[in-house]
Amino acid sequence: MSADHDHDHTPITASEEVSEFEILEVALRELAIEHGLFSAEDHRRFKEWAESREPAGGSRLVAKAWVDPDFKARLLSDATAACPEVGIDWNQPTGEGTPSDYTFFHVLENTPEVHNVIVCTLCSCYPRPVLGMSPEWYRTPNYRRRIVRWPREVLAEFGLSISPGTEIRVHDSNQKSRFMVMPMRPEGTEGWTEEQLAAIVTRDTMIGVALPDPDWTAAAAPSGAG
Amino acid sequence: MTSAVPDQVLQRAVELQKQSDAADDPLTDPVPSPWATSLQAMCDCLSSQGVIDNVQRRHREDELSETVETRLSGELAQLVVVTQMLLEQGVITDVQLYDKMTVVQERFARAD
Repeated sequence: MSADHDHDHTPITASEEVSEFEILEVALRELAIEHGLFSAEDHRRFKEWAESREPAGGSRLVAKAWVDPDFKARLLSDATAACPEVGIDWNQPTGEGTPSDYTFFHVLENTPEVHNVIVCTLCSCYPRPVLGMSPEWYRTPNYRRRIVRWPREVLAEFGLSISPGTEIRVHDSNQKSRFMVMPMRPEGTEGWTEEQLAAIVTRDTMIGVALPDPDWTAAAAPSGAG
Repeated sequence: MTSAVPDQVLQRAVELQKQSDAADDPLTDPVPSPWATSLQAMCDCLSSQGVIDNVQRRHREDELSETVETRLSGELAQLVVVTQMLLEQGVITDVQLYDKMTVVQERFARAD
């Protein structure tokens, strides 16, 4: 990167965003490294692994459940145990899961009568082994506080209108229980392969703020207002 | 055994949460922290090296959340417990931790 590149934004000033908690985390980590408990490279690799998880894992779960009723039954009864069938192991990377993700994982099935949506009102608990890192908006107080009080209104802000006859259930994640939504398979996807189906099961459909659309995949670039 | 640093961290976290609750203002609600992923990676490292067992640590976090402060976020409970466990095991000392925090704080302050 050029050293003389121009920026027209206000420079970030150090320390104003640094909390005592961040200072403690850095201090603990550096002491542990100095004491030879692990290396900076070890730490970077674990962090990279955690941050490399993607929603594609969850998409595969949903697509397989759509085409395989037996798998769907297993997924809904014990989602953690069903995950290895699509290559997801909640015990990774330590054999005991990640520090906060070895949990009871529940998949919530949407039906014509019930629409599910997930949140973590306390912090940002999220099913990372299947959905990757949570989106920024999921972590905001705006979403966390309002979705439990006015779910229909908040979903409308995402462009999702749920019919008045459909119950909306908001599921509050925590350190021990993580949730993921299994949306309904849309019409117009008859005969599709699992791979085709997985492409339309985007992250937001598994959080519950969107519905799958046969004409829309996560990889597609938005084409602007219609 | 209690140690000054994790106790202070816990008190500060509780104080911030009470401020947020009292204000009932979403804007003052603490946004999840940028250091959370780094802390989780540190816990993975400690677990993989057999220093701190992940399951045992999670049980301690549960105990803290159930008995001391029910409104503590997951990441703050994790930070407090990891600090407590490293101190209890004698892996690090209070003095070392205070000194290192001072060094880190000074480094952040001079970064601008």
